[in-house]
Amino acid sequence: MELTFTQYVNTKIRHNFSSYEHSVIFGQNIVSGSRISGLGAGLDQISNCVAFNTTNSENSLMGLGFGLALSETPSLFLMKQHDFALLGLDQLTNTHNVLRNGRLLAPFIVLMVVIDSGFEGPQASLSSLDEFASLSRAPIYFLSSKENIDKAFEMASAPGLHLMALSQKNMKNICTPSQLQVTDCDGAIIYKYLPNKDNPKIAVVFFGVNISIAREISEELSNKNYCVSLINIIKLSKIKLTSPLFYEITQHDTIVLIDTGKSDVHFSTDLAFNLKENGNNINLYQRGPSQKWSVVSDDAIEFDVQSVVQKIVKGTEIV
Amino acid sequence: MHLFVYDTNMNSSVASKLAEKIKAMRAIQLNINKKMLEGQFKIPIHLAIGHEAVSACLAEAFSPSDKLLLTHRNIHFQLAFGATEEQLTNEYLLKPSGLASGKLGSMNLMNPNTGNIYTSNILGNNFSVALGIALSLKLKKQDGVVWIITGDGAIEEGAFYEAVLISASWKLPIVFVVENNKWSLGTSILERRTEIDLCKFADSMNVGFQSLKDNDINNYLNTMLKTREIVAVNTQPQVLEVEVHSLGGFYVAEDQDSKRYINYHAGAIKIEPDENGIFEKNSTDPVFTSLENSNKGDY
Repeated sequence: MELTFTQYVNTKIRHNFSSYEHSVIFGQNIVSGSRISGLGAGLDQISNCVAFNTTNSENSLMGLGFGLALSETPSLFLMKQHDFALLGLDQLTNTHNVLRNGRLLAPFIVLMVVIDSGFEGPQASLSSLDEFASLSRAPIYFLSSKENIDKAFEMASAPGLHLMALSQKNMKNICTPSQLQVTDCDGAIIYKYLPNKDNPKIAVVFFGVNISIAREISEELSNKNYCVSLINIIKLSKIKLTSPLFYEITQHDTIVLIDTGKSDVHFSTDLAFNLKENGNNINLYQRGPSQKWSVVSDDAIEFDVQSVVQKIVKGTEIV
Repeated sequence: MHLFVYDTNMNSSVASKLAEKIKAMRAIQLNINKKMLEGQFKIPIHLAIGHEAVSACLAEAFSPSDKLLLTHRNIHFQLAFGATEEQLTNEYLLKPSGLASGKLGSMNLMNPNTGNIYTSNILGNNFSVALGIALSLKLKKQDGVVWIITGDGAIEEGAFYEAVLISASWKLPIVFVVENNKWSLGTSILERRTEIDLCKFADSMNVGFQSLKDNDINNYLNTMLKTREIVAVNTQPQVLEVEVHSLGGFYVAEDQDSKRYINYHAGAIKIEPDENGIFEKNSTDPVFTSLENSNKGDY
């Protein structure tokens, strides 16, 4: 049976939390009403897990998870909108700064829905995950593909803070396993298109919650006979120069970095700088800042597939 | 640590033991103060001269299954819960032999061995962490009460409202201990806001309320034991407001005709107490009050 992203994430939550002796899932409207468009469906049926609707007190709810983790009780804070987490930044920053060195004895997951469907207005459409990862010094897991989701929930079974982000636009889309060759590399999933060693190797490195634009670019380039690796970042954090992932990215003739986040500072910029220093041929695509973000708008990404592909093709002609 | 049964009067030996403990805690703080005056510490330290009765009595009312969450001003609780002068001094010197191996210093100092599993120097930050700890105790059907220490400054934060609301809604075993010294840094309550009637505030959410003042250790201890019992048996939060006087403040002359009071907040105290470490010979000073009452055999 095909599952939507919402249903698939829901099954992963249920899988993780059914294995604990005691656990808590909490958030606003998670087990009543639409249950966050179905994300919360059946969570109150998990054995030995208490799932309940809370007050509208995001700061306290964020701290609640830390208190539970201090007490060896795994928990999940399910959050309808990423911007709600702004009210919990003191906890994500200050509390985590004191407790992140081994004092948290159980996982504490915060799952945020990034409102990227458009027409929600300048506040609800916040997509500033880089700043959250930077302030909290905790990576943010992009739940942007089935493989990413699998890996993210696997990592989130370890004690500590785990921040996850899911695209609202994606929630009703089908979440299927990739038919491509897939490898897991140090915080990223690599999808191989046309592994023809004779043609130029292009890495499309994607930072974001909705991978569709990176997938389309990869498919277009693949159709033009390039050997494409779509490198889908799972963990939004600094990519170290000594990491296997950095090495893997550098093994390509051309590197396309695509970042759909709306932050003013990006981890992708840091990666681009280091790749350039390393002598790699890079093309960096990031969003805005745009005046559209301060008014109600379609929230469309400021660059499109064809313009990216044309630029890459122009710079890397196949002989 | 239970020495007493709720609602009985404290016997004289217990009173003198507490009085001696309070005096000893004062002496250690004054020794640390001397080291601060000598410039030995690089970190900010908030003394709690005048707060000793609260912590000494709470240490007696505390059960081994209880949890304690502290603030930046935590020296009196660390001492009451067994930290030695050497452990504290070495912690403040950031030495490996310190209470937290020299890693936490003063404002975040915690001692999990005594139930103190979180300390925050951010006003209002520890309320919500307490909620999680209390919820875990309740879900796991474990004994224990969460004592969260706060002050009249932190209750101005919205986090206090949220935490009392949530703890009341979920019936969590929490005691909010509000050390009210009427000052936030150098600004008194009267200068910064209207009075908050915590009794009415608590009552509005069906939360119990108790208040303590004048460093009466008999009343302090019995009230804390009673409060603990209500919270533990009924799993219902309580607010316990304690009037404290942060001693060590001083006056500065502004011009010929006026002087301005500077409340003690942090760092070294530059005024000298008497040979017993007493700053004020009245009920504002817990060393004076507890020794007086102990000597009189009032208990």
